[in-house]
Amino acid sequence: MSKPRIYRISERAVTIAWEPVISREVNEQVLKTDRLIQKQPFRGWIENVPAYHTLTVYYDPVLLDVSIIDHLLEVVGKEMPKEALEERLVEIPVRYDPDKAPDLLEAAKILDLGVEELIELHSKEIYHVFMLGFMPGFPYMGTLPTRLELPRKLIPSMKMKAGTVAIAGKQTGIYPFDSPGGWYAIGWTPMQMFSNGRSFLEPGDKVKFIPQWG
Amino acid sequence: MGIRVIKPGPFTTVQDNGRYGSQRYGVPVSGSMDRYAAAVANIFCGNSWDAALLEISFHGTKLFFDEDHLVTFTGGGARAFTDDGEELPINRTIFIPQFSVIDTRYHPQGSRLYMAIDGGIDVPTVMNSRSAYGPAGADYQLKDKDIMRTLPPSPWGLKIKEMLKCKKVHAARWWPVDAGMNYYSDVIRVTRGPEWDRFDASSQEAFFHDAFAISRNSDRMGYRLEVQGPLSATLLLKDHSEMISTAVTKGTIQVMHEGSPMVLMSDAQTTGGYPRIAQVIAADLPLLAQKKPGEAFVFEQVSAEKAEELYLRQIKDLLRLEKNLKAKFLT
Repeated sequence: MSKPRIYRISERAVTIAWEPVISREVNEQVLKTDRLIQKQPFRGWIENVPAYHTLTVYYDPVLLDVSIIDHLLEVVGKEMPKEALEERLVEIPVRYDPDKAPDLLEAAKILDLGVEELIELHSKEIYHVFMLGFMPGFPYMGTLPTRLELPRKLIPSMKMKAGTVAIAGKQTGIYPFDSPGGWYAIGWTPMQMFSNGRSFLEPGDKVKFIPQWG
Repeated sequence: MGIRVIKPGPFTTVQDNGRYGSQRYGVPVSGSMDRYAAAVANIFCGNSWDAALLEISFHGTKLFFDEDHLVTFTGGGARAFTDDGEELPINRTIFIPQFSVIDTRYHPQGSRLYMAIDGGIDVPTVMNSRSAYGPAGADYQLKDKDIMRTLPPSPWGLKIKEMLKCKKVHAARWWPVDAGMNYYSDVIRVTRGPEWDRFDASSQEAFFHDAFAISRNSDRMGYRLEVQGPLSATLLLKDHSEMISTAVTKGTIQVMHEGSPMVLMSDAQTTGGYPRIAQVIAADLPLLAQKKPGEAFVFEQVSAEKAEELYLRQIKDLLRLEKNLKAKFLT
């Protein structure tokens, strides 16, 4: 793993960036560093925001008693724990039903797959939650089997229903709230992805979709 | 007992310093658009800087006070008036006796009026913050017939209230000689963004030569910018390599696919995947927050060190203001 780059994004935030790729290996580095900082927070630390290949550290410069860049260089210079992160496997029931998921048939057609094949490919995989973003509780998960990769829609749909399970590129996600969206809606889950101020998923979780019928 | 909403106004929300600790779950920070004005208003009511107050985005908010309060108005876009039509000053502590009515009317300068109340507005905290953000369950946009309650004032706030207590609405005779903010400036300072080098040379040049204004299609999430010339350039990339989503923050200027910039503001997404050409410095975010659609400004580049220095100086100004007022009332 190559050395990360550290750069400021504002007077209150610094980003640590590893190799710019979507890979579990890189993301695990992000999440391990995230935990390391949370375990030993420095004076002035506010919060961390993990993303695919970056960890952004928010802090209060008034309270800081070290150089933030030097401190983070020291943190990333440390030997990361070899063992894998403890993982939580979360099962999410999904109805792959054209009535609930308006793009299911179209996605199958573009991918040149039967609907059953698409469902099998999407639900047999165990996905990694790389990050949450876009809206409260929206998980960016991957990576999709190559045969399910398709570009974003040219014209975003104005109303993706809350609970919509969607795919785009190498990623799959779930819309926690009704919203516009440019991904293909292929399923729907009754699970609430964000409620009572809590996100259902955490960065680093493993997710398996369980097809529901009827 | 409390402060009764007679008219909420088109977009009046409760805000504090923002919601930290939940960005990792995709929850925006929110909080006052103009943090400086919010802090000044709170200080003048004897509150901590991050107490919850009202952000009045358009005029038309009308309130009835069930009990004596101190309030302070800061920012712009509107001014407060008494029932008798007397205009109340901004940047001054104002005593409001029981059973008074205050309304807000249009003012040409600025775009967001802050109203702090002694003690701060008491709405339940959601993820450690009282800032309005519907999807997180903090539905704190003012509605008809709402009754706002306040937390107990500080000893310092109580002392000011005692001194100003009288039968009619009136403003304290003291105010800061210099509250430190030049809202009339048409220069917004920025540092280079992480993807600055991805833009072609003429776009980089145009970014600091063109004048911009926020478009009408702007809100608390982000300000879309319209270019006003002289070059009226479209901002183009020379390096088209794929962007992977990463954290973005208030003040981040990202360039959308069609080549136009957008500044992320208080309710912005926590992550984004557009190239970031620049970052508005924290010390100038209040200025930008108070710009109105169509009001022209230019960007000027400063170093990250300078940006930090200006931000820390602004915080020192606020600390000094707080100290001076305390010295005045606690001695």
